[in-house]
Amino acid sequence: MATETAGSGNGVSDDVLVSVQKLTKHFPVRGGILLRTIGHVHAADEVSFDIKRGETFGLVGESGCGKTTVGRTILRVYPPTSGDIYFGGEDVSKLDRKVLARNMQIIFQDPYGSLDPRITVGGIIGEGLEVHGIGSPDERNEQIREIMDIVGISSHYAQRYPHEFSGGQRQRIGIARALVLRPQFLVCDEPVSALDVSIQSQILNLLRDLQGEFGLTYLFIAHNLAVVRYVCDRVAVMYLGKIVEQADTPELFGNAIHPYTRALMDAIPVPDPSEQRERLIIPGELPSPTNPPQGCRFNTRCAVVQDVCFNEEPPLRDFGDGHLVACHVAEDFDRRGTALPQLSSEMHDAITDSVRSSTTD
Amino acid sequence: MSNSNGAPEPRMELPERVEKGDLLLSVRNLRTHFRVRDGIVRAVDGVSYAIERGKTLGLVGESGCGKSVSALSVMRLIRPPGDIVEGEVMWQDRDLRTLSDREMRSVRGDEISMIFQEPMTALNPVFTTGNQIGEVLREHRDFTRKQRYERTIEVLRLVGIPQPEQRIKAYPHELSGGMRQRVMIAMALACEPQLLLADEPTTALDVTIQAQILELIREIRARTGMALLLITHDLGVIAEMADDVAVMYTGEVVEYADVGSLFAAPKHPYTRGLMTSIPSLMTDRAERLSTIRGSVPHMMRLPLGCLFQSRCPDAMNICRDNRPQLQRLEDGRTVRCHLYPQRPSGHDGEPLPQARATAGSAAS
Ligand SMILES: Nc1ncnc2c1ncn2[C@@H]1O[C@H](COP(=O)(O)OP(=O)(O)O)[C@@H](O)[C@H]1O
Ligand SMILES: Nc1ncnc2c1ncn2[C@@H]1O[C@H](COP(=O)(O)OP(=O)(O)O)[C@@H](O)[C@H]1O
Ligand code: SF4
Ligand SMILES: [Mg+2]
Ligand SMILES: [Mg+2]
Repeated sequence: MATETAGSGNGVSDDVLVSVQKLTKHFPVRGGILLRTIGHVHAADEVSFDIKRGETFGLVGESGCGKTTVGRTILRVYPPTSGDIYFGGEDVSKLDRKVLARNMQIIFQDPYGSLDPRITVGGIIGEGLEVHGIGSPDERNEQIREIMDIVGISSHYAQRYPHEFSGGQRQRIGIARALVLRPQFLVCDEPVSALDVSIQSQILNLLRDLQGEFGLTYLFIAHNLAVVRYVCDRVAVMYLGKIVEQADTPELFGNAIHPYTRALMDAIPVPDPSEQRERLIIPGELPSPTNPPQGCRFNTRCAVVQDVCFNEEPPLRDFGDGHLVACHVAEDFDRRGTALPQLSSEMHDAITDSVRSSTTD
Repeated sequence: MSNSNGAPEPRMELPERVEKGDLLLSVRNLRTHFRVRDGIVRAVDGVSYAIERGKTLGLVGESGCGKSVSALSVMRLIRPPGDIVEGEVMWQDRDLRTLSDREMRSVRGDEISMIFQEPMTALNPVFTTGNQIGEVLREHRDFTRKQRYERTIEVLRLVGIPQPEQRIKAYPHELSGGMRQRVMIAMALACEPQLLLADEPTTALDVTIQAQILELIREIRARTGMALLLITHDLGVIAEMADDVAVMYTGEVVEYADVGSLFAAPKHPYTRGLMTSIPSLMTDRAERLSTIRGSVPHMMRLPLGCLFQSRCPDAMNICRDNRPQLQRLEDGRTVRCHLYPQRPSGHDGEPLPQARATAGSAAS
């Protein structure tokens, strides 16, 4: 039966590289002519997970659910509102920024906006080495050439500028820049979302090769579930700033329990015209993160919502082997692979209306 | 419909079934080029496609391959430095290219509508939802003010916008991405078009909202018998929505087939590459993904022969200098590739004797 997950304390076990504990990040919303704080965006609320050494941990969810916020807060791009992050057992807030940068790096979604157009590719890749005063200029050039060859950009191009490269090549440059300091941990924030389909698989293969070669640990952020399933060892699904489900990849994709996860999987168009499906379509849209619904945050769109869902926030509970689910009625959907009931159209309309009125202002 | 030389030459650009169908729209040998500083971008270069009444044609291909330009050409919305330099766009029995601007305006938004890729460029930020839909109705219908209001409310409700009486007063920036897309669809549907050109209608949306919008389009299609040109780069969306599919690459159609045949047995190396390289929920996690090597060639530096040659795993000598023609295969579909036997004289009249020899030995 389900058990509450214990608040893990600070004891981070040896095989864990990154431990995120009750991470909360709120952004102030300013308004009025004095730009006073009039509210907060609840971008991430009490998010906890451990990433083991050498694994790829996935964060999925629709845009605005807080994935990037979690990734950047781990890297201390943003200070957390509350909660702790441990890297190799050490409290990240007590580590020197340079030490952090040498150990943790990020690959961005947008291979166009994330590279400075005025700097040569060699300069972009070598910047980290220079900042950290690593090696002589000659040694640095050698390292730049080496990493370029590893990511599949000929080192002859070190003197060229970003605009001379295609989207896929720019993403390789971004990867080289992140890897030149030989970090242990990489946040990959939607690394293929902006790329053409024929290029995505090249980059996914490269990330896989690099992981094997350098023993890298990845936090892989994406909204494409098929990509996440292929890339990740374990996956956490986020909704409106909260983790709603987390499991090993085969378990999650074979036995999704949370109604949101199941709706998300159901919504993916299947590239097989012979498959005719009756799909569950969840109504409405993401409520405002400034004023998330009371109780379960998914209650405005959930097909199996109960009274309790409006009053109590469901805790993440372990359904065995680390399959965590935050849903009051999760038991009903465990290990059965049953279809969720379809919404009646009246219920659909009622929910859509309530969602609209709650998100319009 | 006639050839440049007037001879009744059999047309081979379209799959056999489509050619024989009850065609609502038939685009033949369309060339839309952009004259830019350092040369000519052949954005759409000899593209033919057709849509039967009530059917859906999917147009797939990577960004920049000419999908939007081919739809905008049908609507005659190509602006300088772009120009339709050749081809015909038969809408029932009229060539839209020969219509006056006034005649074209009366077709656009009434008989044929378009949902644009960028909602914010299509919606005017200074007008309310109601104004914008009302404007379409004013253009095409002799409605009273009251009738316009009622029809606007009706279409907003049709596209699943709750409380349309309030939404009608909203400005585009006050709406979420999903709601904006619905307003665009409402605008496009206001006059019950016979054909809807939908350019990436869900690409910018999250999957749950995408599922809602696709369901909406499906419902409307079933109820009104509207035909659809659906542009997307998502093969999953194509599989769920389309009857026929045209795969585009650098301004050309490289394969054109009914959706079942295409997914069951893609013939062109590019189509095959697309289908096998995208991870799906069925992909074996232990295997490396297959890839299409390299990237799309620069539109100003296209090679002489097959435009796909630098990325093609099956490229042969002949592919280097000879541009393959679209050929109809035995199952009725068309493919542009030397792996399949080329007919002796292409549409452009280029003789390709060597092509047949080499392709004949290479094809299995
Ligand atoms: N720097 C910021 N300032 C204010 N709000 C932010 C900031 N970054 C993100 N947000 C808000 O936090 C929420 C989560 O955003 P984000 O982490 O970017 O989501 P995701 O990456 O899942 O799309 C969104 O509502 C977003 O608008
Ligand atoms: N206004 C323009 N000026 C110059 N080139 C253009 C213009 N519009 C489109 N193109 C070019 O036409 C080609 C096809 O574009 P488009 O139809 O938008 O591609 P898709 O919709 O398939 O992504 C691209 O190479 C693009 O750069
Ligand atoms: S014509 Fe040649 S290069 Fe082009 S797709 Fe066919 S085999 Fe490949
Ligand atoms: Mg993000
Ligand atoms: Mg386009």
